[in-house]
Amino acid sequence: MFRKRDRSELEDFGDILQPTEAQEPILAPPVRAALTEWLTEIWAEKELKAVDLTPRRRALFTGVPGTGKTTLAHHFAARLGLPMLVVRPERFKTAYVHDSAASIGKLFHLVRQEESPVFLFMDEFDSVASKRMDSGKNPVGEQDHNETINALLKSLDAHTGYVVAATNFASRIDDAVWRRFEIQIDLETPGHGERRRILRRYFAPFVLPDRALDALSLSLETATPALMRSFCEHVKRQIVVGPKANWEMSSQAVFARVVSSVQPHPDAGKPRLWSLGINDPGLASVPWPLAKSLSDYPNEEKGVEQPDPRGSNVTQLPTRKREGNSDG
Amino acid sequence: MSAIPGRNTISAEQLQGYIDRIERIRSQKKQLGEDEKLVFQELKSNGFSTKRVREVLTIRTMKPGDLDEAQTMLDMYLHALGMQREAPLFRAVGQMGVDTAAREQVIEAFKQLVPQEGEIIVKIGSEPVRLFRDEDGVAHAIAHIERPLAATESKPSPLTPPATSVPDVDVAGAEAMGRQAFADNQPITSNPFPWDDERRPSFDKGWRDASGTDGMGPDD
Repeated sequence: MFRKRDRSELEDFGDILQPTEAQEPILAPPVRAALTEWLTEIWAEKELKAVDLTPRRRALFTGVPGTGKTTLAHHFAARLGLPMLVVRPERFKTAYVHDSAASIGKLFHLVRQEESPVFLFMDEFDSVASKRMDSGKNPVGEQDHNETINALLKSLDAHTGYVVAATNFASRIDDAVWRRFEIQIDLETPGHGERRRILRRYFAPFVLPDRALDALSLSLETATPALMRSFCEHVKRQIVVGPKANWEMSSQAVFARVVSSVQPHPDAGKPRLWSLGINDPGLASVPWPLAKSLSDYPNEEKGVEQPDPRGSNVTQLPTRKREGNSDG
Repeated sequence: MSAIPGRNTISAEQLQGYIDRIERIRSQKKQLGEDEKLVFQELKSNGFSTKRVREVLTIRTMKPGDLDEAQTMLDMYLHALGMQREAPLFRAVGQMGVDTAAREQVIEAFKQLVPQEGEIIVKIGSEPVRLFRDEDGVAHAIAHIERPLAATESKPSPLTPPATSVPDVDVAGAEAMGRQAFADNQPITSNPFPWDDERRPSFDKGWRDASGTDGMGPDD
């Protein structure tokens, strides 16, 4: 087989992401606290050694698709200053018996060979590390899978670098593999504050007044970051493409088109926006057309009373200010 | 009842039919030949050379392969007798710019020059061609792909990040740099210290202290 010589053999197992490419994750406070703790622990390696402890090295991220597991792992690797190898399961699951186990061994061997450590990120971990089987219905296949898991366990035990695994199906992971991961973080769909920040990030360069962000965030309750991103990007795309295509560009028409062409996964929660469609009260408070500066919204003066977009039976959520608390 | 031989038998009628048809065709041929002559007279009177026109007509009836062969052979004979100013190969080379078939001719000619042990890589037109002989001594020509040389040495591994200059500061200096990076709106991951440098955590801490967050965005 022809193999390009000018790339690392490790790249056969997945893509390598550099620290400089990392994005800031948008996470709920408990998850952030757990990560900060882990980071502090890693940087306190010397002090821990003095009391005969080593920092934890393996974490398992679980959560429905689109909750930002990869973004989070990448940010963490970047904070440590390590390149991250996103291991793709299809690269070492092979059609041949015993080959998968062999390529797991090879992967860890190659990582050990590198001069500087590599942060391993094993995506879609359930396809590699699902429970061992003994049903007897497919003895060869099951035996091979069990062998793969055993190879993985051995490799994980021997490996001293950082490993983060991510899966959408935590319940499918083999017990023994699960136990090898010292940190388990469940990434839930973002809360109100996170949703506001996600909306702000993905609507950029357009800005929305606080009131609209609050209302939209409420309409998008239970949405995953990925869904919110495609919602925001779709709206921006409409703003650019719509006038060229002579579409109707009223706020109602645009949101109707967006809501009908971006859908949450049936298994994930269905945000109110998709239940009520364009009748969702959250959309009414979004100023239209969107502007790139807050001062371009004349009706958003602080003194002007706006009708509560969420209806009278919903209590107003306090808009909390950014607090200057320090940690670390 | 027996057939009576004579003029009005059925076979005599059939024969008469054939004779009539042939006579008709002959008269038509004569007529068409005269028409052709008239056309030739006409083009001659308009200044065309009848000889050359006849030659063109002959060439047009030939298969392209036969024509090529005839022309090449004529060129070769003339060249052998010293009556041709340039060799067919040189002429083909000269025509390559305007004639794609010429390229094939040049490759064919080069095939004859390929040594038994060895090969010729020649750039004919825009794409290079590799000419070699197989075990049976038959010459082949295949497109030659030029591979860039020694990519291994020139390209660094993606795992070793480009060597950025690590600032020469102490731990407190690194922390100040972190604070400055936040003030300059640089991300926390712009930390210039390598992973195993003790100043890396200090930079991180400086950035976090300046921002008042854990480095993962503002607290809502």
